[in-house]
Amino acid sequence: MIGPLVNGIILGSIITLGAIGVTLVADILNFFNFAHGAIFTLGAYFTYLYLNILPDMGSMFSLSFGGSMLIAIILSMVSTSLVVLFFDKIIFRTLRRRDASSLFLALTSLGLVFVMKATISMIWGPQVHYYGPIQSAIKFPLGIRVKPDEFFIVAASLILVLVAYLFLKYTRLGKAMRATSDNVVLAQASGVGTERIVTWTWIMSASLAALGGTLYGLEVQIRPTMGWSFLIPMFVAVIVGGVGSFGGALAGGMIIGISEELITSLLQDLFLKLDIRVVMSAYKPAIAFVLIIFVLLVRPHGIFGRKGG
Amino acid sequence: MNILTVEGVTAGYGDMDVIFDITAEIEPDDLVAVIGPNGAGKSTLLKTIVGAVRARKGEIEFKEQDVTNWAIDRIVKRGLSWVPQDDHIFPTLTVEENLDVGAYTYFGDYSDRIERVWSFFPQLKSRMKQVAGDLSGGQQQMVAVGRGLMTEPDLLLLDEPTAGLAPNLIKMMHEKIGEINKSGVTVLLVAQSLETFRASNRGYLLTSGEIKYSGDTEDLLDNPEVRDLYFGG
Amino acid sequence: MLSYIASYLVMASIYGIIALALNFQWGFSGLMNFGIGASYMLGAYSAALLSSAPTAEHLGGFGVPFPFDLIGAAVIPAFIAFLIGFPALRLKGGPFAIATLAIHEIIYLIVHNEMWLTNGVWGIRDISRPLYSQMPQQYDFFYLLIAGGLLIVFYFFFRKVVRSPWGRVIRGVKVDEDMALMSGKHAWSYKMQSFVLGSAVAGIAGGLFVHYTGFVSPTNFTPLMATFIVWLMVMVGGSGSNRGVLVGTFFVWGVWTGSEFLTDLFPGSMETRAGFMRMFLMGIILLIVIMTRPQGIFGRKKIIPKYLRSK
Repeated sequence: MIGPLVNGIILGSIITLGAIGVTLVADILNFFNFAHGAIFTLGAYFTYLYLNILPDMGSMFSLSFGGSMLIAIILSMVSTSLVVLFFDKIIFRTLRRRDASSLFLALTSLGLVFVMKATISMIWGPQVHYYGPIQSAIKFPLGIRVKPDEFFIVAASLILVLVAYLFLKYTRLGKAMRATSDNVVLAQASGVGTERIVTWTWIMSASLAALGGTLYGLEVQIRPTMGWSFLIPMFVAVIVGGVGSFGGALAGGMIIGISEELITSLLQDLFLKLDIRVVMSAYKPAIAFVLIIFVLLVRPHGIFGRKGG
Repeated sequence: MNILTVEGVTAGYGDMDVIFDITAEIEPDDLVAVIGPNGAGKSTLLKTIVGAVRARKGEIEFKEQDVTNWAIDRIVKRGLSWVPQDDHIFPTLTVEENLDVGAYTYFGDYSDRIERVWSFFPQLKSRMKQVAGDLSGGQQQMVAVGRGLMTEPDLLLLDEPTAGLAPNLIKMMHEKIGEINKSGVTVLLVAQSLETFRASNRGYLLTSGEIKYSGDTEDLLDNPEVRDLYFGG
Repeated sequence: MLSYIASYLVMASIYGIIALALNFQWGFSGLMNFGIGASYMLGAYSAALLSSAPTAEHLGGFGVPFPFDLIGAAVIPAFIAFLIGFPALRLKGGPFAIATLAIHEIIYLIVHNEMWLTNGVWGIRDISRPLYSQMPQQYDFFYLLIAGGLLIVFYFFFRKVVRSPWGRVIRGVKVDEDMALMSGKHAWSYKMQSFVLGSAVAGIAGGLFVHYTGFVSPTNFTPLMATFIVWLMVMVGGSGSNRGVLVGTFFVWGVWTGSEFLTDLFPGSMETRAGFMRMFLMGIILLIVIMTRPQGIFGRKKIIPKYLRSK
């Protein structure tokens, strides 16, 4: 039980990073960005690119990487944001001016997925990559086994989530973003330029996704389809938590992550006992989906959502 | 010389025009009311001036600059402030944060402006950390006006500033508006009640999207047709 | 050469049927179904399992002859859509799309992983192809009669449905749910009916597919090949217009098969790269269409009566 719980926390923190990005875009830009998984993937690959360019700086503590990884991550966040802003400029901005519906924007983002996934596959190939050597887990009491990198994953996620929260809560721009999400026209009537807010929304969303992708690449592997398999859990986390709710994305992400691990583990044990041969880990996205059904039946706007969202 | 000139403005939503050929002039430091029956287009007029509604025809000049169909945030940065009738606050932000956003265009220390809002509306000061959406209608109205003041505008557009307020608060609001006006802010407001109209210097009577009468408040009040139209609405 | 063309026409017809089904769900009923590929896949596998001979490799083997297994190919996806519709149709727009996408993923995973059910990645071989033994050389042409014929049947079928009183209600539901509710109809129930009907038709297309190729495996039904490409066909042609959708289908499938010819010219080492280029091409086409002509080739701009426009 504890093992899957720990794994769930690790998985959940990665999902949370993605979910926050999705919820920000869904709230301020008014559509579910199906390309978020591809952005997640792009971030992982950018980190890989920079890691291989930068000089080797050895490794820190007992992590599998050193200072060069941190620099690579930052460069990746910047690069991914620039790519996303580019797409916004040539595609989404025009659609915004045309007052395109959220469904239309979602379909457009789906088209973007194929463009991005194909480009990534063409540049790096379909095979899997790794940032560094595979780590072995440290044994803790209660049968917990955690790799040192996994501490970093949870810590990095927590720190970035905290930074994002503080940014939204206390900075002038953060308040302007929240105001825009509440009432666009009134925000404009307070002198807030919407395009600036859009830019920062994308920057936040893309940066968090880039970090999330990198952390997943660290935990498992880097491959072109990695983001796509996270798309459903991220979206479900947002819907469960309530669109536009930062806290909801955080709660949703952790809930999805933990329940995916716990439920698949429990079911796997059950099936083993019943001698049914099913590989449950492949069905993790299904767990997320079933959860969303339950939540929506009880609270159609999500746990933290507000009406009219 | 006018702070605001509206010249032959026709505007509306989609294909439907709501106001027709509106011409009006506001001088600095004036306190002007727009009155008329429901649906006459009073809110639309204010929205068109600030840029929330597109003017199909005509021109708007603010501080001797043609601002016709400027983006809202651009006009606001020039010194115009607008407090709408509905959706007039940021519900998930606290009272203080509402004011913070109101001061978005100002990069310096605006604590004196916040103090000014507290002095106008003392009830808000004790509630400054409360989420604005949780407040009563009257308190939200105060937050809305407070937010509008944060830019220290030259011209303040108030759409029904006393809507939803208890009678004693209405009187208080009239006083505050008078104080704001005396401190050098030109005010153009939409007035539903007679009291609000009486508290202003001049007025425009709008019916079915057109200006039927305009003039000093006393002259308008003496005009029997105005009283008919106004109370008939 | 001619049989290449016939083969292209057959597959285009099959996709045309799916596109008509999707257009019915989206263009007329406003359902953004990102899981249409799942109905297609379920129909295909149902037909395969129903019609094949008993075998240890997978479930089924009831030996139901073509075309009777097409009934199963229609009913099973329709039934699944019915079950899914209960929770999913409560969702609006974006979340509904996500839910249907998730369903597609889950069904794909099940088909892919459950060897006992579907023989997993290995697929199901030796599916009966009607009259194949009689005319192996001209099979493409013969099948074109079946597929093309069914395409025409479904084209007129949907035409009739849309013009019927039932169809008019559904169109009304898309334009404004509140208006439709006001006239006493249950918007939800009509959406369910569209959803189920569209799924059934897409399922039949799946059945047609397996009896054409004689073989089926999960790779034919990835989100790209089964859902996205159909959306592309609908968007290029113009949602809401059935004629346009068919034009879009033949165009997109033409580009897809055409690009296969081009990539065959590449040296073998670039083969996988070439596959990605085709994926890239599909994405770019959608983006170009959306940016330049969002209503597609034949689509009409949304017509909203004046009195329904928002205040």
